[in-house]
Order: sequence, then C-alpha cells, then structure tokens
Amino acid sequence: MRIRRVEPTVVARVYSSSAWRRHLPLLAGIGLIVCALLPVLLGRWFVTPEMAAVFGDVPNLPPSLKHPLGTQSEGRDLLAALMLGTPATLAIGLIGGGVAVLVGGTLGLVSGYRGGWTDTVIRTIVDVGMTVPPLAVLILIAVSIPKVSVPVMGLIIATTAWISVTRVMRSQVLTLRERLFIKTAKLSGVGSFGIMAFELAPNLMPLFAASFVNSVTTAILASIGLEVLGLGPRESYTLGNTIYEAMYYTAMWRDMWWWWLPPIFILILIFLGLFLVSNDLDRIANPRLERGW
Amino acid sequence: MRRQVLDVQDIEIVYRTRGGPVRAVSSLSFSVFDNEVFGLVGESGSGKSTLAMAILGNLPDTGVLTRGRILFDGRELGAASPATWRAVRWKHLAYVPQGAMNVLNPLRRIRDQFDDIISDHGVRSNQPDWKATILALLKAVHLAESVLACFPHELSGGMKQRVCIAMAMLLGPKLIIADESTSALDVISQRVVLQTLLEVRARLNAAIVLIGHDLALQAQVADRVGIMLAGRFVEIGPVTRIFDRPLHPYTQRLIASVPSIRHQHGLPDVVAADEAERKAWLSEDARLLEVEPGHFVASPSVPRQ
Amino acid sequence: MWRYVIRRIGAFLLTILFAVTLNFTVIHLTPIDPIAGILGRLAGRGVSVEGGQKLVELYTRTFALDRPIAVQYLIYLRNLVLHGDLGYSLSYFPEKVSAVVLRAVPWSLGLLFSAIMIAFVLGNLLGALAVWSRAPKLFRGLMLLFMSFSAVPCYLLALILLYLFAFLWPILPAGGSFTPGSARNFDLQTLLEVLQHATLPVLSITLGLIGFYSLSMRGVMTTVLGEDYLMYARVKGLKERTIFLRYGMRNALVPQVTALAIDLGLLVSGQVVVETIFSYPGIGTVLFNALRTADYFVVQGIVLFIIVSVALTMLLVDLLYPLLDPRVRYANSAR
Repeated sequence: MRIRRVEPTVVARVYSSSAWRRHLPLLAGIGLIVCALLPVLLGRWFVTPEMAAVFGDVPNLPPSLKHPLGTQSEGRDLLAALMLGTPATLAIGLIGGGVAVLVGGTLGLVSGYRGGWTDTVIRTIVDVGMTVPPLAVLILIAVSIPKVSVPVMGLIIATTAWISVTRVMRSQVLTLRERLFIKTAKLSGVGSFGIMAFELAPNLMPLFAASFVNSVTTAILASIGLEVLGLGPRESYTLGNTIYEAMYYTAMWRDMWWWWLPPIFILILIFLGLFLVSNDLDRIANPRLERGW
Repeated sequence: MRRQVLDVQDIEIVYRTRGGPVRAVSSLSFSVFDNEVFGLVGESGSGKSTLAMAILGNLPDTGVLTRGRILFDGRELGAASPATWRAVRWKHLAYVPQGAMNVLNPLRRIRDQFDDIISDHGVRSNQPDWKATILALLKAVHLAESVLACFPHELSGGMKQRVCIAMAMLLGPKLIIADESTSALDVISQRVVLQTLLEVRARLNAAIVLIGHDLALQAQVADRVGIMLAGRFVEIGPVTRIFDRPLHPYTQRLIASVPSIRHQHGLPDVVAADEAERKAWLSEDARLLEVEPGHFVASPSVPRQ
Repeated sequence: MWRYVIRRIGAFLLTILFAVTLNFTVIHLTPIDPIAGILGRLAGRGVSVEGGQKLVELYTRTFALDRPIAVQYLIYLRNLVLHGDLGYSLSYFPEKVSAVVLRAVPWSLGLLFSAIMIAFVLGNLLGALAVWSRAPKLFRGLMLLFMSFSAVPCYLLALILLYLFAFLWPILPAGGSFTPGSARNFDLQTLLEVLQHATLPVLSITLGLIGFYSLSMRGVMTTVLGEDYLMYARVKGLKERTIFLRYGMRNALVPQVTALAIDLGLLVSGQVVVETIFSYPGIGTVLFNALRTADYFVVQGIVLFIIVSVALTMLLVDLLYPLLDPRVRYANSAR
C-alpha cells in the first residue's frame, strides 16, 4: 500500500471501476426503446400497412393469427396501427425535441455569452415562459390550426419546449465564459461568432446531448397529452391517437384490452427507456451528480 | 500514577477511495491524562482531524479503524455500537469545532440548540435549573444572554466559537477535544478563546486535547505537546522540554519557524526541510522511544519494518 | 426586501400580459371562425338561426370586431381586467365562460391540493430516508419504484389504475364525482362518496408526483448530509430521530418548498388529462368537452385561467419563501 497524505476531510466514495456497470442505465434504457420498436421491426411479417386503414377488416375482432393485436372499432388492424404509430410518435419527439434544442441551445449560447440587452430580453422571456404550463399554450395553438400533420405537431411542441433548454445552456455558458481558454481566444482576436461556434459549442456537447434527450422526452410527453385530448394529427396514426380513439369508442368498457393496452405498454417502454438514458447523460454532463448514488 | 482519560494504542486509520486505500493515520499511540492540556500540533494533512474524528467515533463511512484500540476512561470505544457512543458522547466526551465553520444549525435559534442537547441526553429538562446553568455557562464564556434568541448567522465568528465552548461544557465532560478552535479568529479573539478554555479546564477538572498548527499558541497553554507528521507522532513531551530541547529534526524546524522577538534583524533563514529529509522521516519506524521521562521521540536510525 | 417583492410581482404581471396577448393573438390569427362553426352546426340541426344572429351581434358589440385591431385589444383587456369577462360559452349559451369555469374550479383545486399534499409529505420522507445511511435499505428500492412511476405521464398511470381498480377488481368507481342519482347534501355520506370518487384521480397524480419530490429531496438531503452542522449534531450525541428531523429534513425542506411550485405547470397539464379520463368535473373535463364541441371561447377561458392561477401560485410561493428561511429574510432586509 502506498502511503499518501490526504486532507482527511475529503469524503470519497467507492465506485465500481467497470465502465459497463456504471453505464448500465444507459444501456438498459436503449434496450427498452429497442423493445418498444419491436412491433415495427417484426410486424411486417404479420400485417401490411394498408390494414391500418379504416375498415381494413371487420371491426372489433379480438387477437388472432391474422390480426395479432385484433382490430378496433373503425376496422383498423391494431398491429398495423402500432407499426405506423410508433415511428410517428418518435418522429414528433425527434422533430419537436430537435428544433427545441437547436433554438434553445443557440439562444442560450448567445444570451449567456453576449450579455447586455440581448441577455436581459431572452432571460425575461425564459423566466416568464417557465411559469406558464406548456400544455395550456399548446392547446391554444393546436386548436387554432385546422389541419395538423406530424411535422407541424413537432413544431408546435417546440414552441414551448425550447425554454428550459435555453435556461440550462445559458447557465453553463456563464460558467464557461470566465474560463481561461475563452479569454485567451478573445485576446487572440477571435470574434464573438468564432468563440461561440468553435470554442464554446464543442465544450457544451455533453450538455447538448443530455438536453436533446430531455427535450425529446418532453416533446413526446406533450404530444401524447395533446393527442389524448383529441388535438393530435388526426390524419396520421400516432400512439396517442390510438389511445384517444380507444377512449372515444369506450374500449375499456367493452373489454377490448388489445386496443388500449398495447399502445400504453409501448409508451411506458419508451418513457422508461428515455428516463434511464437521460439520467445517465445528465450524470455525464454534470459529474457532480455522481455523488448522489 | 496519573489517571489516563484517553489511551490510544497503536491505531491505524484507512480511507477507502476510488484510487485505492489511503492510510491517514498509522501506528499512532498516545495518552491523555486527567486534567491536562495536550497540544496536538501538525501541518495540514497530517491526520489531526482524522484522529479527532476517530476518537469521537465520527469517521465518515469511508474511513475505517483497521488496527489498534481507543480506550476512553478505560472503556474500549473504537468500534462500539451507536448506543454505547450515545452514552459517552457529550456527557463525558465533548468536542469544540472551529466555530467559524457551519457547525451551528442555521435554521434553529441558539437556545433551541442547547435544548436539543439537554433533552436528548435523557436528563430531565427541569426547565428553571437548566436555564440557570446555561446562563452561567454563557457568562463563563463572556457572552450575553441575548445570544440565546439569535440565529447563528447573527453572531460573529468569535461569538460562535464561544457558543460552541459553552455547549461543550454543558454536561460536564471529562475530555474536550478542541479542533483548530482559534484558527479562524483574530488575535484578540484567539486570546479570549484560549483563556476561556483554560477556565473551562479549571472549572470542570476536564482534560483538553488542543489541536492546531500554531506551535507558538500551544506553547502558551499546553502541558504536554505531541508533534504529528504524516499520520503519526514524531515527538511527544512536556511543553517546556520540547521547546528547550527538541529532539526530532522536524520538531526543530517547527520551533525555528516560530517568529520570536529575539530575532531583531530580519526574519530567520527559511528552515524548510528538503525532499531527502522528508523522505527519511516518512520511512522511520513509528515506535516512539522514551529518551527522558515523559519525552518520546521517533527514532530516525531504526529502519522501518 | 422590497426590491425582490417588486421584481417578482413585475414578472407575474408580465406573465399575465403574455397570456392575455397570446389569447388575443390566437383568436385573430386563426383561420377558424368559431361562431360560424357553431352557427353552421346549429343550422344543420334545424335550430333557428335567430339566436345565432344575436350571438354574432353581441360579440361584435362587446369585442368591437368592426374596429381596428389595437382598439379591439384594449377593449379585450378592459373586459378582462375590469369585468373578468371571458366571453360567452358557445355550448352553454347564454352562460358566460367565467361561470362555466368557476363551477369546475373547486373540484380541480381539491384534487390538486390533495395530490400535492400527500405526494409532498411522502415524497420528501422517501427521498430523505433513501439517502440516510442509518435507514433501512428498503427505502432505496422504494424510491426506484416511484421514480419509474414518475417517468411515465400520470394519465397513462390513470388508465392503468382505472382498469385495475374499476374493471378488474371493481372496488372504486370509474368516473364522475358522485354516484349518479344520489342525494347531494353536506353530510358524511356525500363526503364519503366524493372521497371514493376522488381516490383514483388523486392516486394517479400522487403516484407520479412522489417520484419527483423524492428525487429532488434526495439531492438536497445529500448536500445537507455533507454539512458541518450535521456532523456536529451527531458528535453531540443527539438522538438519531432528532438529527434526521430537526437537523436534516428541516434544513432540506426549505429549498424544497420552492420545488413545490416549480413543476406546477407540468402538474396542472397532467391533471387536465387525468380529469378527462375519469370524467371528473374539474376544468380538465370542461376543457375536453369544449374541445369536442368546438366551444372555442371556453377553451380560451380555461387556458387563460390555468396560466394565471399557476403564475399567481408561484408568485405566492416566492413571496412566502423568505419567511421560511431566516437567512434570506436577513440578507434581503440588510440592504
């Protein structure tokens, strides 16, 4: 044993040295999401997308070999609906989350680095925005747009999702701004844009990634909320729409478990998966959280 | 034969860290006798606070007493159960931390914090009696009664320190460990605190372990002094002997660094040790040899086993 | 101290302004004409159009739809602020939106309040016990369980609970707030009925919420555990319970109280959908029905109400916070 003199008030913890085990939540999360995608991957051996159309077959059939998840009251085959719906929901999440992170990240970067009036304006908007329940605003917007498609849905959600991203990015930029490498870059004559794009942005990558996963989660959450209320993209199949229709046609009362249970199950898999992934990414982006466990 | 209130026998304390085990204290032995002031001197990182926490039974979860025994008043405490500790703590063994630290609960008034100690130690909180005791204690540490109604942030560093001293005295312990009690204070407050500690000793007939890094300060109040380096003692002895005849080279350096009014012409030459010397000291055998009655030194000539 | 108060109230007023402006903007930008929609439906059902004409005239007059847009905005503001006039409900005409909304508010408040109280107490205890080294390890597992619940939106939990306890083991009612046909008095029987019907909705929200509170409490408690006063409390030989409650939780709860209101927006959003699922007569169900019947003005009114009430609650919490933490009060008053 080497003798090392250590300031005894350092409280250290024993960590598992294996990287695999430390990132188990991340892997488990990704695994869950892959499981959620199983209907999409395996469904093609049982059904075709056309069967998801209205009156693709006899309505209200329980599961059978021909319709592994049965049909619902409009005659749609449910497995086909899920095959189309899961990617649609994920797409809304990615579009909404992606746009939110891009807009929010840029605004946070600019606001944190530039300071002054830009910062004050953006900060006030963010502070006000954080007190507003996002669903309220989303409902208002969604109700006012007559025809909502999947990409439009994503954009609608992004209008409220960017706010928390801005706040997180901004505070991180404020910390980084005072570091030596930024000051050195400034002294070397690198312009504001250069510093933001080439010095700050690369260092913000871990936070970016964590924010992205969080935003996608928020986006999917918001989209399901809107869809269950009936405000989703009615023309497309999404998981939320399936649930809405199940409630509309009182599927639970009619004992049609194959209608309302599978979409909920898939959603739970997606949410738990995203939760585990974002937990781990948060820890990587902010190592101080490590002390928690 | 004087009574030993604290007897530490050959202990070793190890911290488990991510980088492997770290030995903070090794092969350390010393005793504290009744009613004496034992000064524990060492630089930062020498293991003083670890030793104090071990004696108090409050090592963090990562710290382990891997060898040796700690006997308080004849009773073995090292790895005792929480119940045993609760019986001993504060009633017999008290602690005065660095008051400038955040040791007083910021959300509770001072009088409530006194009450917590009283009620949790099973002594019937016969209100009038205890109120009088507390007031007397405050007076002893030169604090006004108004302090009781305050929150900690409303008091100065020196006042908080003295509140801590008063708290330590509350149940009349036999041993008080004072950890860097004067380190963050100005000179006058330091004086007041030291004086208060001596008065405490006289009042309670208690022993005090005074931990610090200021040898000059220790010289004024301690009866015996122990010099700690890298987790063990290099020299222990009566304070006068240590100053008159320091035997270990490290001790000699420490004493030479103490500013003295005798050095009329500029500062003494820097007396820091060089790498080789430090290495030599670190590889010494920790066993202390009694060179004169009561004066122990770590021997540089005996190689480490 | 006063500067802080003024700043917070200023932010609150800005939020109101934003909400109102949003409402107004959306009315005028949407290609949907709600009144024409309703008129069309009424005509389709053979109902006389005369009542519809009156509605159009009423609106044109009240909201000055024939004047320039700036004037309309000011009149809208005036109606709102001075008269609390949110317009007329299209489905319940001639009932006013405010009446429709206010009827449903007590139910929603009751639900929200109960859920928050229960979840706050249980969640904080759980979070604190999960990091307390001398507490049974069971609490850590429990916390993982509740955190998984909170990852899933509460309305999905609601659907599962609905199935489990109203269909599979039908021990609780499936919806509404009263058993249909029962007498509604202020007596014990009615109270029990209300509680029975409220159980599943409250449970749906609480289960998800406990996870959030316990997670943030765990973080705060971890900081508190590292504090010197906790070490000192232990060295002083205080009882485990005293240390946990008075030196641990009490100190950790202070920042947690602001956490009470922080996720309020998300909470309310979730509750709206939960109420829909259980047909609980709160603003959620009213909103849902309004969406289904294209009662546009009720939708707007509810959205506005939600935004304002959440903002108001957060303002109140921010103003009450200094009372809890003497350090903040002291710091603010020292200026």
